[in-house]
Amino acid sequence: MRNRNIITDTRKGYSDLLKYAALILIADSTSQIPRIIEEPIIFSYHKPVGSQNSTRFNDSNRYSLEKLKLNKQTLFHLKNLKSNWNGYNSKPINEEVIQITEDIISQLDYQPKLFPTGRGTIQIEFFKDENNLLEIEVFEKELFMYKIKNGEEMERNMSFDDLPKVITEFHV
Amino acid sequence: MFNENIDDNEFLFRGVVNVNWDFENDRPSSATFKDSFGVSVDRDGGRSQSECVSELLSKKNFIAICKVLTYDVREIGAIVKYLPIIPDNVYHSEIHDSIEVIQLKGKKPNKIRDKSLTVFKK
Repeated sequence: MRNRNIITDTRKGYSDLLKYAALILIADSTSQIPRIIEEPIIFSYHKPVGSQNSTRFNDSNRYSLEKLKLNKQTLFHLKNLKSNWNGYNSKPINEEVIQITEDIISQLDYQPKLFPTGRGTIQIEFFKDENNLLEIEVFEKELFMYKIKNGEEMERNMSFDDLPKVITEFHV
Repeated sequence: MFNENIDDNEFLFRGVVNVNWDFENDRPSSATFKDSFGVSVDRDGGRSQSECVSELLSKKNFIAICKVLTYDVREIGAIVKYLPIIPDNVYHSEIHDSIEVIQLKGKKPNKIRDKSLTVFKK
């Protein structure tokens, strides 16, 4: 009995040693290539939006395919607006403007709201609160921006190249 | 028929269609106040609010009607012109950016929207 107990104890000690070695290996791997441990093993890329473990997908407005789909539907609807759609002799929405807007929203992390104007342009609108908003009017050949960031107003023409920077700065 | 100079205390009424309504914030988008020409509005011309609303609704199936005080429009640097369309609409007026520029852009449409009140909503 006593000998058996000794053997059992020895096996238990060996098992603990293996566990300890495995822990060292994991800890070592974690310090060298943290993403491999952190993402495929611990986290899933398909966590629900707002998961407590996820910091990447915790903003429901970001990377929303559903909102992109809705905006594309809105643009499709805007194509069908006839003259005088607003009751004030408005123009139909320019097809080039619709195409430009579609190109813009397809590349955005955050989906804006889209509104047609009576002059045939489209307004891309991001609104956080009264002191933080961004309105970009898409014309056929130019963009016009009106922004309030932390209560400070700015309005100006902008190029298409400026667009990603302006939108990124607004969301920072 | 009316005084050419619209009084500061007169309200200007504008109908809003579905696609210009911001459902998330329950108000018109500032895009409502962006037009090729001036922004068409109806001055109250001494009518009651319900008369102004009824007349606009008889012309189009607007989702909402909003009103803004002439004083507030002038306060942000825009111009209000009385431009009646005889005989169709004797109350017709327009909001212009300035004496030289007709189209409103950037902050002025946004400020007018902020100053406006929704007086009818479906």
